[in-house]
Amino acid sequence: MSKKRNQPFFYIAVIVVIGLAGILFLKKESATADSATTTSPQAPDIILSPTFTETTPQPPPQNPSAAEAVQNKPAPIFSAADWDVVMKCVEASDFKKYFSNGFLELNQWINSDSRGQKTVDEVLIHYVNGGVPYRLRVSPSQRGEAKEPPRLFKVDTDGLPTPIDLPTQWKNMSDNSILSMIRQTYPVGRTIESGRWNIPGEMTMDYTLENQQITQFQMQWMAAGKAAAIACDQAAQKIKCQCN
Amino acid sequence: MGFRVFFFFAIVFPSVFSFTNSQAAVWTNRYQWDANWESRYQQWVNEAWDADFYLRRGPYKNLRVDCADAVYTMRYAFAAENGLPFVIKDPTGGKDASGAPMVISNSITRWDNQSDEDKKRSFLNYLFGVISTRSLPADSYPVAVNRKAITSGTFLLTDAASHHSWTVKYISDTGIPFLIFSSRPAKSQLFTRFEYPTTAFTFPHGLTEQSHAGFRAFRQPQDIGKAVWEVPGYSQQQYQIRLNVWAQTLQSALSIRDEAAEEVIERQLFAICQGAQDRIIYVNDALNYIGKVQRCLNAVEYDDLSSPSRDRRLLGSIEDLQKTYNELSQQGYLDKISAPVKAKFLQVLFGSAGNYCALQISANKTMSLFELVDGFDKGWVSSNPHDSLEARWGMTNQKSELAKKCATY
Repeated sequence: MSKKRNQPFFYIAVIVVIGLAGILFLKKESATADSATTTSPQAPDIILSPTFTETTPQPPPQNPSAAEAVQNKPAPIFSAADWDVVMKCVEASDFKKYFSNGFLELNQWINSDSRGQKTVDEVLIHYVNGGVPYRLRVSPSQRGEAKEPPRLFKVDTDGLPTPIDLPTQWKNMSDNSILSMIRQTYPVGRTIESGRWNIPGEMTMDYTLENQQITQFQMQWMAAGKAAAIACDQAAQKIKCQCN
Repeated sequence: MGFRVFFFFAIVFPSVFSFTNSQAAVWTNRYQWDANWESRYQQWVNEAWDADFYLRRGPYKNLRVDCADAVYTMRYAFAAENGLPFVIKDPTGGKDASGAPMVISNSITRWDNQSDEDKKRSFLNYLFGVISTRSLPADSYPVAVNRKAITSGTFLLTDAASHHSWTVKYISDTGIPFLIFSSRPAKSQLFTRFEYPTTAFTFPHGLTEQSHAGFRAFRQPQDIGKAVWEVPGYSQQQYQIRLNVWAQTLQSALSIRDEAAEEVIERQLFAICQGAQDRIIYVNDALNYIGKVQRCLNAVEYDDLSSPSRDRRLLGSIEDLQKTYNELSQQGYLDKISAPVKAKFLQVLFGSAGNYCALQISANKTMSLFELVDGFDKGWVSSNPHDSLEARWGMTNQKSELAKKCATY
């Protein structure tokens, strides 16, 4: 009976003890964090940002960066029907024939996000020529700032790339090739995504773009001595592709 | 008979197979990366990694490297020496049948018929053709701001626009990084710096995580392909530092004692002297190249042989020294500096008599650091690789004929 009478006091006592322990624990943590931020007691009086703490927050960033974005592929924006238009365009322009002979000349490739920023961090073009897969990696530049040279790789039987020399015509950056166009047109940086398009002619193209959105793109190339082009635009929820 | 067949298949065949397999890899993994090996790696970088690394005997002798090559080699050489795995994400976007990113590792079997030493050299040479500063983010993660995280074996990466990187040999007691690095065009002799690079060069688009710029550490093999925030040790702390106090904040957080005024002067003098001596190498590289080709350079050649970023950096070091002089002068501390340090200080800033860090800029031309400082003050120092030796070093403001007519990029 007396035990029953004392039960509420017991619970209150337990809550008070837990509360005190919690407060003590939090105070200790706080003191540890404070001491950790100043590694040197005699360090100069440098102002740290108010949010600078020793304990590292680890939430996923809002905008996963280029290297990480690969894991979060966006849903394709252009449907299969849209790609039919592209494919027909490619077929019609004798792309296959041109490509089996050697070089692809892709003059322009635009993507922009909803804010109208045009940003490409890196362009990887995957293609197969004579049964051998190749990858071309081009990094764009901003207003003539430092550039990295484009690199061409042949994919070996072990699935790994081997760097090979660029064709001479691609080395000349003053010409009107895909390389100079990409490198001169687009600023670098920003958050980007990656994906892959399959195009007839044993070619796939990896794209890298901003904000998970391709709102428009254009491709142009020379096919059997003729200029060919595709321009696709996603405006007002309606995708239009024009084949020239 | 039955037993013999069983014996063959059960014991001999797997043994031979595994022997062949282990021979095929560039080196055999005897250990796995863990905290202990990370600690040994840091110690090795602090002791063995230096500017002459590629000049010494061994599998890497005379390899010519650019900045990213040097960063990767730091990790590679330790892994190879100790039988640890070396794994990077395939930077050309290769994917396996399941769509997962491919990796490139020391298990590659392309150089089976070579000796162990040759295989190490061949694999590293192969990597040099594949990697770049752009591949570094996928193989590393941004670290927290403390002496345990920013330490020997980490590296500092710039924004993609500057595409440069430096390895960290150590962080001094006063919180200053000793950096070892290469540049373009690739060479075997590495460069050193004992200072924080300028924020204008390192973070031209601001201090953001998306730029990947900042101090980073290599991922362990099991973390390749993971989202960066899932990598143990990942931290966003660096991106909370204000850009205008970036170097001071880091120095404060990484120091275990104050830096005396004389140490500041010595460090700044070293930075100027080292920067100017390094400049002799790359200016002469450009002059030799122009002498050979006798034409305007294209964009890639121009990028390799011009020196706007490096010149801005050198000018920044000079301005830092001038600022230190003004501060010490205002505070009345100049007289408290030891005579030898003060003498060097005055030689560089005011042309006092002395021969501190004389610059042998060609076989028959020498100049003092003060003359270079003077050239910078006049705005005559040229970063244009088409220019003459005199114009490159600020002895004249007359452009060469090539510099007048050739495009700059």
